Formats: sequence, C-alpha cells, structure tokens
Amino acid sequence: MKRVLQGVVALPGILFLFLGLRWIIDPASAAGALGMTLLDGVGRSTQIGDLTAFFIVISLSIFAGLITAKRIWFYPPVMLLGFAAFFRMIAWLVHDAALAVPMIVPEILIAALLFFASAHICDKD
Amino acid sequence: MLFYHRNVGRSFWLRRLLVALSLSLPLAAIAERPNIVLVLADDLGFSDIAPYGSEVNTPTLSALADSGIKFTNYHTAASCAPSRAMLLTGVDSHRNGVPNIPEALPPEQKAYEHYQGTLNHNVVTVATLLQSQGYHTYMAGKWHLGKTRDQLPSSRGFERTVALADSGADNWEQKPYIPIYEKANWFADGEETTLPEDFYSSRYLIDKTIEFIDSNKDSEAPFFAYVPFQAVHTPVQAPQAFIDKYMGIYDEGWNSLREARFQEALELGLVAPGTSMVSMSSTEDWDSLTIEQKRYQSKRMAVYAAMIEAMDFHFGRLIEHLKQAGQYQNTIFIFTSDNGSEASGSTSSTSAMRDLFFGIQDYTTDYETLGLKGSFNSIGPSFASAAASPLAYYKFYSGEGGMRVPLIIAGEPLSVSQPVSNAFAYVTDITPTILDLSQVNQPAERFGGRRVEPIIGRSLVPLVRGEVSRVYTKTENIGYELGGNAALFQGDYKIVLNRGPLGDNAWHLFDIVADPGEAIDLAGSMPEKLQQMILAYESYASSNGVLEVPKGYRQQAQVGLNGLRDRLGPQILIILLSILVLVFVLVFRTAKRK
Repeated sequence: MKRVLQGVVALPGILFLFLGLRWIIDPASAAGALGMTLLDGVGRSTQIGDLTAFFIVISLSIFAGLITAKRIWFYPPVMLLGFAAFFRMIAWLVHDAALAVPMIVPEILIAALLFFASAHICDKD
Repeated sequence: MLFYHRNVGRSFWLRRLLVALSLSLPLAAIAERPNIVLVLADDLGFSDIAPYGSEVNTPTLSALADSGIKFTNYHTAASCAPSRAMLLTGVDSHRNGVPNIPEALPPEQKAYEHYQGTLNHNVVTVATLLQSQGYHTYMAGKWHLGKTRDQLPSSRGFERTVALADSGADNWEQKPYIPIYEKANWFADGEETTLPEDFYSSRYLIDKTIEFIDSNKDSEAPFFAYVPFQAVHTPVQAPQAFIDKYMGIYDEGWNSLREARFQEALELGLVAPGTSMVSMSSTEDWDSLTIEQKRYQSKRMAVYAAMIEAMDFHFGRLIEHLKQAGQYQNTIFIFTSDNGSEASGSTSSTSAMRDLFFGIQDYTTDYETLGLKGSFNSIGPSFASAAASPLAYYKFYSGEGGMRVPLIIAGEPLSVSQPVSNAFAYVTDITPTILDLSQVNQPAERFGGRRVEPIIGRSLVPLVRGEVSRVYTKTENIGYELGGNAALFQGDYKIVLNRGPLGDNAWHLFDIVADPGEAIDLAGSMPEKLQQMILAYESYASSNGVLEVPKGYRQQAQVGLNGLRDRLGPQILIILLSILVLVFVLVFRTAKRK
C-alpha cells in the first residue's frame, strides 16, 4: 500500500518538474497553457522566474518528502497548490478573472492527495 | 470616471436642448409624418405566426401581413440584447456595446470597453433621433440594454417608458425567472417601479402604450411607440382561456408540427420550392415517449401557442384603439422578433434537478397549472425546432433558425406594391427604415456634441414601394458574430459557423435562397467561394473589434457563473476568507506545538 501511494505521489512530482522545465525551455507555450501570453522585459523575467520556481519547488519538495519520508516536505507543495486554487477563486470574485475550474480542481485534488498520502508514507515526526 | 459623469451630464442637457429646439418645428411639418409602432416579439420562431405558416391563430398579424408586406429573408442576431441594440441604432453590435447579453460575457471579453453588454453612448437610438425631430416617443416592454440611470430607455430618447431591464421575467407577477436576478427590475420613466396585482405582461404593456399615446392625444406631433413584448420568452405563460384553445393540437408531436409548418411555408411561398429540411440532433424521438410524457409535451406547446395568440390579441387592442382615436390611418406598424425560437428546458417532464431548480424560485411545473401564475414552462429543443420550421438550429446559433425571423411592415400611409419580399434584410435596416418613413435624417458624424457610429443598415422603404428588388448588392458583405457563433451573408450565400454543443466549429456554405433549410453544404463544391467569404468575415471581424470567445466557452455555463458571482459573491468571499483565517490559525498552532 505504501509503495502504491509513493508511486501515486511521485506522479505529480514528475508532472510539476516537466511544467517547471517547460517554462525554461519553451516559455511561450508554457504561458499559453496557463491562459497567458508571454510578456516582454521585466514582465517576462517575472513570468519565467516566478513560475519556474513555483513548479520546481513543488516538484523538489515532493521528491524530498518521498526520499526522506519526512512529512514536513509535503507542506510547501500542499500550501502552494491549495493557495493557488484559493486565490484563483478570490481573483474570480474580486478581480473579474475567469473562474478557472479546469485548473482549480486539479490543484485542490493534488493538494489533498499530497496531504493525506503523506500521512501514510511518512514517518511520524 | 469623473470625465464620464461630466459627459453624461453634458449630453443630457444637449438632448434637452435638441428636444426644445425641435418643438419649435412648424406643426404642419410634424403632423404630416406618420406614427410608427414597432412591435418586437421575444424568441418568436420563423413559423410561429399564421402569416408565416403557423397553425397559431394570429388575426391581428394576419391582417397586417395581408395589407402590408412580409419579408421572408429578414435576419436578426440570434440572441436578444445584441438584436435590440442593432434594431434601435442601425449599428453593428460590436460597435454599439452589445456584442452579447451582459449575463453571458466572459471576463476575458468584459475587460474590453466595447464588450460591456450595455448600449454605449457612441450610438444614437432611433428614439433619440425621432424625439429630436418632434416625435413623442414611448416604450413599454423589455429593454435589456442596461439598467443604470443613464442606460435606461428614459435616457435613450424615450419620453415615457415602462421597461424591464433584465433578460426576462415572469409574465404574471414581479418575479425573476432565473436565480441570477434578485428581483425583476422594472422601471417607469427611469425610476424603479412596482407592477400591478393583476399584471399579465402582454396586456399590461399594451395598456401602458395606450396610456402613453392618450397622454398626448391633443398633441399635433406624431408618435413612435416601441412595444417589445415579453412574449414568448420563458417562462412561457398564458391565460387559461387562450391555453384551452390549443389543448390537444400538438398531440402528434414536434416532427409532425415541423413538417406541417414546412408544407405551409412552401404553399405560402415563404421558402423556395425544393427546399429541404434537416433534423436537429437535439430533437428527440416522439414515438419513444410514454403517453404521459406526450401529454405533458403537448401542453407545453399549447401554452406557447396560447402566449402567441394572447400577444396578438393585445396587439389587436392597440390597433383597435388607434382606429377609435382616429390615429390608425396615419400609423405604420412594424412587427418582428428579436431572434429565433428558444430551446431551453429539457424534454423530461420530471427530474429531481429540474424540480429543485424551479423549487428554489417558487415555481411549479405540474401539468394542471402549466402556464398559469406560479408555473414555469418552456418548449425545449424539440418543439423549438418545429417553431423555426423549416430552418436549421434555433436561438443562440447562427443557423437560419436562430437568425431568420418574421418581419411585417404595414399601415395605410405606406404604398405597398408587393405582398412579399424575398430580398435579404437585416436587423440594422429597421432604424434607417423608420427614419426614412418619418422623414428624419440619419445622424451626422457628430450628434449631441459627440462623435457617433454611423448607421450601417439600409432603408427597406424602396423594397416596400417596389422600387428595387434588393437593398444589398450581390457582392456586399454583412458580417455577424455572437458568442463565437458566426456568419457572413453575401448575395444569396451565407457562410455559417456554429460552436458546440450542436455545432462543429467549422465553416459551412449555403445558398440560403434556394436552400433556406441549410441542408446542402456547398463548402466542398464551391471551395473558392467559401474561402473568399471566410476572408471577408475575417475582415469584418477585424474592422469591428470582434473578440474570440475563450477556449471552452459555453454561453449557458457562463450565465450561471456570472450569476453565481453577482448574487452570492460576497457570501462566497466571506466563506473563503474564513477558511484562510482558519488555515493560518491551524498552521501556527501546529508549528507552536512542535
């Protein structure tokens, strides 16, 4: 069971690693996938820098959690994904953003998966 | 924002000045001009009235059609507010601020000034133009072009008004028909108003129109009365006496009705001999229904027919009143619909979701009281297809069933030379036609101190008088887009693109004169024509600021999301912020323990 859960949790780790790398290798297509156009100048720097960091931190934290079996490593990805979904909803309510359901749902599901799976695959802290 | 308010104030005083100046026109010049009554049905399909092949008894409209001219190739937008905005201004919906209904605009489009879904101040309404030349101007009915003070009809050229600002409302009481509205927003002369206890929409709107007309009965000036009925928009409701006339009439089902109306349209010469008819994928198999289901469906349509006849009856009361008041001989009547038949509402007569949805709004859907006060009714996609017979698609779609609707122009001041016109006509032609009939000039480049969009439509008067056989040449392009569904008309041809759920998001080419049913796609046999028209559409879209809809856009879903945010946004925000505070507390407590 533990092995199965480790395998399931590793999948989003791989996914976010690819998403992060995509921002470095092909930022225009990565931006398009998130409903953005690639900006110029400082805007482009912020897009590539911040979003690459976002996805890479999620991925590295998941793998660090899997390797060390320490639950605390799962908190950053859970918080990043959970808050991303949360603030997407705030953006819809307050700032006339689209309600990005196809992004909010996976973010919540993956955050929930990481939170609950980590309790079973990690040592008691 | 301050600049905006300044402009509103300035235009208000300029309008007042124009009206004051116009009142100094010689009375003789004013009196020679005809009264104009513009009647707009809501969601009425191509073959829903007797002159267009319907079994529904519409003696008023039949009489008008017999004495006037009916257009068989008239097109409007496939949804309400864009049609109304083009109807009243003669300007393309992407330039007058109403490319879609405001309730359906996605945030990606609403970020643009010309995508607000409310009539902007770059256009002048036909009412403003007529009022500036001495006409009395009245409106009673659905407005749906904005609900703030400067957007209401009382600020857009109408002297007396009673207006519903929403996309629709109950016909029996002051009640919203869908939960995106907190209340039914009715206004009288620009102020919120309350409907009377004995309200029935068609009767009330005609009563108010008569009241407005009579309030100036001693005036020498002609009047323009705009009567946008609620009929036959959902909820489909009608008085029992009218319903009783149609009980059992629709027991043979939608396919039988669609075929019967098709044959009648052929006989009346409304469509070309040899016209074919397609079957919509949304049309269910009548024979697969149980007896109970058939009985329920039949009554849904009976109520719809009753609502049409009730509208016709009350329109007839207005005409009778004008006759008695000695105004009939000097009045021109224009009757049309804002778009094709409405297909909302599932075919299922019972479902938990449906009951829950209507229960929230205190509506029932039971058979016995269907169409009466407190009951919600619609005809669903299968009967909607019959209402648009023999055309393909219906409301929201750019197929002919969504865009081709009846148009009748009649009245003693007209010299009608032919009973039927098969010439292409478009909704933007109505304003220039009214201006032509009332001898009022189209606005110059500037009006009321500001630059205004030019009218793109053509007067249909030369067609009425038989002076020409068409008002658009065979090479002129008339582009159209609404919610991602698009079309371009050129001579007898039309390219059309419909998105899901019924469309395939691809361009098709039809000869809509020989094939109004859009049954024979010419895209394969005339690829050069298709390509040339697609390029013309792209040019139209680019020059009119047409925005693409976001990926995955669905009109109905967007209406629901926007409504959810508008109605429950603050409550959802409070819940989310409470969750945020809770998460912070939990994180800090956990961290402190460790």
